[in-house]
Amino acid sequence: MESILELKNVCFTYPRSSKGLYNVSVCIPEKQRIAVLGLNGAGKSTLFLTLCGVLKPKSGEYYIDGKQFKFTKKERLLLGKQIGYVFQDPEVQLFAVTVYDDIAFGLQNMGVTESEVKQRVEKYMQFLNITHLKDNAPHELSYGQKKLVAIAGVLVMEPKVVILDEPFAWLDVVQEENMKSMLEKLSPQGMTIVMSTHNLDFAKEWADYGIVLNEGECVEEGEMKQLNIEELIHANH
Amino acid sequence: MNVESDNRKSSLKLSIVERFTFTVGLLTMSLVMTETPIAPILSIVLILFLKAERIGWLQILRFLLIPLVFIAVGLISIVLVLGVDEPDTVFVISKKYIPLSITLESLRMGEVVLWRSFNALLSLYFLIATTTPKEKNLLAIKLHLPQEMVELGILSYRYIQVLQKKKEEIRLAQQLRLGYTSYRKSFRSTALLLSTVFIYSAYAFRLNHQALLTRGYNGQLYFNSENNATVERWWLIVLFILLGATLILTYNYYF
Repeated sequence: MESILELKNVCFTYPRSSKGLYNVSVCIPEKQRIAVLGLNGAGKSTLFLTLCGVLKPKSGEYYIDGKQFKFTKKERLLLGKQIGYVFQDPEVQLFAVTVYDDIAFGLQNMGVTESEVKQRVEKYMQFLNITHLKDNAPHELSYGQKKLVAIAGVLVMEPKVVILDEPFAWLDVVQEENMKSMLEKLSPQGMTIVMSTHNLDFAKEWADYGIVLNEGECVEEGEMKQLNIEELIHANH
Repeated sequence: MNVESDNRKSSLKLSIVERFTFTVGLLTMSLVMTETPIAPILSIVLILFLKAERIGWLQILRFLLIPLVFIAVGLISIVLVLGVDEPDTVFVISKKYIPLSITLESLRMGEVVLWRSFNALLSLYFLIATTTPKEKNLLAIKLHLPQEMVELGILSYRYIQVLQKKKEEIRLAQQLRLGYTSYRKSFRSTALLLSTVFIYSAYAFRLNHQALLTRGYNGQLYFNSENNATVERWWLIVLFILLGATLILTYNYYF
């Protein structure tokens, strides 16, 4: 398997905290479905923010498509074209006045023409079944709807890698089912999807590749079928 | 920086009322005593007090940076004089289209404003950097401010933290969607950010009000106003006032 993202011996610690990443080396295989697993505080969100170029590691190397990522300001600013990140809490991601404007934000920044912006926003609103919310204010929406709008805002930029930080957090049963079917529909689009979740059953069923983190260290990674996730998580607890 | 932390307790063991009186005194002196050599001496005294409170140079510089930019811009308009015919002109900038020059009087005015602003900022920072949120509430009560104002202060302080966090989160979300890749995009993203934080403040107020109602809010906030750390030394407060008043009143006699 060819890896699209690769971290080598990456260390990162937050100021005045023991939390972070310690000597993490992971590969994100291209066009695969990757589940990142671990207990709360294991370092999943830190790993994602490092992959997005937001957090600069204290040591270690980061490769995107085989090229070393140097964390320069310019490189970090343009990384959004390649990697899309959906926050765990959609409240922090939505900021525009209407749903349409919020979804279009990233595309407009990419310099896409107005007609193409319209076309792509409508395409992804249809894909996620949120076209009827087009003119609503994001803060008026239900939690599940906000989550879908946040995902649409990232998907519309058509990045090579989409990172979803606990997409099932605080969703009800129906919204969870909708999210699962959306993830199923997303895979044939040719994107690499990285997702963190506490739903181990779904992870085993959905993912091709798994990464298990514990207290900032990568304790196991590989083909999902070959990983004994429960044992790994409980053994490290 | 977590401004809610209790790291800002006074190292000089001054109570909040003592520090408040001291700051008001210093502020008044800063605004009255502008002539050299008193103004620079006052600046040095203020910096020494800040250092005695164990405040780092970087922290002082960071605080002064933004207001000093505004002061610098303001100074340009004070120092520049329209016209070139003043008898005390020291430098002529242009004669043709807009006659501009710098005079001795405008330079002196600029110097006065600079020292006033600089010392006033330092004295205010002395109070800000050594006051915990709890002490701020205590001061409001000791000064017998109306209950509404005290509550407004408490909520405003809380909301500064909430909105600051919200601002940081939205900025990150914008950055990840290429919102700050050029100056033009940065302006647009910043405008969106400001409007969102403004809308969110109204939304957060509604949620907060509902949360207060569900916990039996009856129009009054209760909070622990005990302060066991320090007790006011009234002789010290009176000494500050007398010393400040004497210096201000005899200022013209010496200088």
